[in-house]
Amino acid sequence: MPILEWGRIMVWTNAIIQGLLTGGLYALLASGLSLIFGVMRIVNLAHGDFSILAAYAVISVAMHTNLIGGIVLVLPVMALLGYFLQRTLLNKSLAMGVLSPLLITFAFSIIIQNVLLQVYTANNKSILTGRFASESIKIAKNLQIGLLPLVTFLAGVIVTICLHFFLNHSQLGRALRATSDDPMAADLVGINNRHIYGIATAIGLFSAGIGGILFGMRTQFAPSFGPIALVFAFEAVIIGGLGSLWGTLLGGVVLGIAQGVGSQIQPAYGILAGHIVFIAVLVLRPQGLLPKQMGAQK
Amino acid sequence: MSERVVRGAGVTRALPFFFALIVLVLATLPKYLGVMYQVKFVQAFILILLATMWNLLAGFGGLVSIGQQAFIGIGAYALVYFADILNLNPFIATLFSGIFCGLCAIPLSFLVFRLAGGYFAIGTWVVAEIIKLFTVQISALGGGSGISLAAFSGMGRETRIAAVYWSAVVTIVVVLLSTILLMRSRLGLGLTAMRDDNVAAGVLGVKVMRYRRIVFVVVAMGFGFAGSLIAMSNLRVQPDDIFSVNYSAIMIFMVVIGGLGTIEGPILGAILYYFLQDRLRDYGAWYLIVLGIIAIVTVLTAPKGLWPLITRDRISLFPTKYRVISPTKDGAR
Amino acid sequence: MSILSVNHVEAHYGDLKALFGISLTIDAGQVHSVIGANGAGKSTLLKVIAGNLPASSGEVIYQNKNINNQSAHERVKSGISLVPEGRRIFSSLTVEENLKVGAFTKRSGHWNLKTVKELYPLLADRWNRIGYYCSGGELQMLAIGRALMANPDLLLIDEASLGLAPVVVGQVYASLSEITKQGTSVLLVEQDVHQALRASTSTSVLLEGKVVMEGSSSSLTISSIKDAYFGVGANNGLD
Repeated sequence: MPILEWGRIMVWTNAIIQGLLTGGLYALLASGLSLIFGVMRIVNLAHGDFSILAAYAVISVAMHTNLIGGIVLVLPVMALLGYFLQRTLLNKSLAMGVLSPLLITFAFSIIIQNVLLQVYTANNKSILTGRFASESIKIAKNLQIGLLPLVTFLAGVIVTICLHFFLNHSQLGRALRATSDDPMAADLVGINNRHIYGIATAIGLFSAGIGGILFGMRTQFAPSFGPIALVFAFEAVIIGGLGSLWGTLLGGVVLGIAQGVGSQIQPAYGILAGHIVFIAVLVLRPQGLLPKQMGAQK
Repeated sequence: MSERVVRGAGVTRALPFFFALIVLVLATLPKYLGVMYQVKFVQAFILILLATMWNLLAGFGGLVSIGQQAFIGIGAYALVYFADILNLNPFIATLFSGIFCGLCAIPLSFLVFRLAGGYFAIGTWVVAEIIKLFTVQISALGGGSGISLAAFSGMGRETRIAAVYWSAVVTIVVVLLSTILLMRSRLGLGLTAMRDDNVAAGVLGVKVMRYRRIVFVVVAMGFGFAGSLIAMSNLRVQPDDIFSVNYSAIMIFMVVIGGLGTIEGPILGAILYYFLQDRLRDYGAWYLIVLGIIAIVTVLTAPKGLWPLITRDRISLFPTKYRVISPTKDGAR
Repeated sequence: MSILSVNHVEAHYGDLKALFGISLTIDAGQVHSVIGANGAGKSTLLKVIAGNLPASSGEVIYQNKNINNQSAHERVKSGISLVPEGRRIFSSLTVEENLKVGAFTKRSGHWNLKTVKELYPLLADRWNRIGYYCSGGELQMLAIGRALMANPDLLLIDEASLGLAPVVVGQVYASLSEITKQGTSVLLVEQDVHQALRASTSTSVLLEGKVVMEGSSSSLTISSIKDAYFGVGANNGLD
């Protein structure tokens, strides 16, 4: 009897830990979304699609070099792409009211999905990592943590920490926060807003790229996966609290755990459980778990 | 002698006339048109309905949603339920499914109104996905593979198509008339004020939240009607199709191209989209890419859409705009 | 040597004309004040000099260069800093962060965190307070301090005393002499005529977008200013 009980506890612990680690991935995706919204009030409806785009790009580049080469090449290109799109199209739309950026990023989403569909077909693909994907670390009896999920989680935490330091302790990060507070006043201290917005989107797409690549390593994906990634990122942001960097990390973790517990009950219930937690937070505590205090870190 | 404020002038004076004429023509078309054209007309009417409703929500209500397919799906399933399981006349069933959607929209509005702007947009989409997930769990509605509409099985094909055609005509006429009346009412005036300046409108006594909710519910009903029409034309409801976010993409495209915030714009956009998708359908993913690019170009270069561009913002077919008529010196108009 | 020369500058807000050919000159190291009733165009003039509003005609000559085509943030790099009406502090940044971000253009000079703290000791007590929670006087000092962090050669101040307690106004004006001593010229827009005359070496009076009077501050009398201020005596159809 006692062994059975211990086994069941282990199973649930395992589910929770898996969820925690997945949460790091969600936090990664969410932080980019949150940053872009925080600085410019733009919700990038194509955020998930950009992350999947990065995964596909790595597959293509890795065919000519190797996995590391792929990652090293694709991530900076994602950043450059973000900067470019912001300065050419999105900056223009910012001046036209709230609706325009939303419509443009939605159009981006449609375009990216269909371009990927044309180039790569609808078949599932994944980023091959050799043995890396199946390695695991043994923590306790009957408890193992996959290396890839662990790395993903650490990536989420590290990116959050880096963003925290960047926004709070660097001149450029301060400039981002200043521009978000008052673009006209930022102009007055010599900040070029258009450039700053480009930087924000560059960072946003860079972290989306990291998320997409790590996602592509652990799961098979298809061009249509972008929207689902967006939904998870969005739910993580809302659960954690708008405008709060650490809240987004927490939100991702909570979402991951909810999904993990849900799929432990029944595999089909995983995503639904996440949705339910999201709705619950929206109804019971709409400001999120760690709402932004005026002046708290973004 | 003081100035007078009138609604509409010139072209719009003749409008009720033209309108009645068009309705008459449309109503008698099945006599002369083959079945294939009736089907095409129904498709076009559905598109006009979708565009008009999305425009009402976003252009007048200020609510940008990419989750309205939730109500298209609810409307379609409700139709099947009312017509097949409750054995109601399909046209009564359509009316009921619209009402049912409206009722569903009320509690949903309390949920989604906690979000704003872009997050509201995604939020409505998440809600649509959740509704789809729940619907798929209901085995009585066919689960993941969907359900067929049996209510027409007694009728011959031509009669059925004509019946669907007429319900589409009735629906679109009723919806358009209601939209015009809505925009002419106090609610409509309030909405236009809200669209221009939220805070100022609130200060002047426009009950912003309540008007938004009313629009949300009314639009949900409209989408419910659309879902019912879709179910009646396809004779089958499948969750992945009927709850697809592609509906939102199409609606946004039609309204953006046609003209947000006018009644004529969405109609123009719907007609344009109808012809575009007819031509480009064979090119698969490319046509969606082209649509996306057209949408971006339009948003950046002609943000108000084609209708205001073509008419230079001066012509209004529907009598919803106000004009002030000042008296001339000798008292004549 | 003049640091700024505004020549027949006109400006519009859409179709509304706000400046009708303004000309003025500021000598280096001096404080020049611009006074006038509400709506006279004082803030508009500062916006044109700072680059927030384009001049529809005329030139802004700064350090002997025509800067009409320079954008606002570029002008900060060139040495023009504006303390705007309403101060416009970054409300989610602390006092320290506001000052630090003021040094974004990395111009060198006398002003840094230490010297600004010495100029406005009050800020030192509020060093970690978020801008949102600062009082009016603190905001004004912070706004000027932030502008100083860019080490401007020309400092533009819009409505320095608006909404402030007299004691605070005194402290703000007392700091002006230190600012000019360090080599920065000041263009001051002010509602309070007495304060403006006391603090400046020269003054321009604006009315309805035109300069109606100017001269050295010590030679202008209150009564003549009053007439110019309200357009009395001028041909403006008030009879």
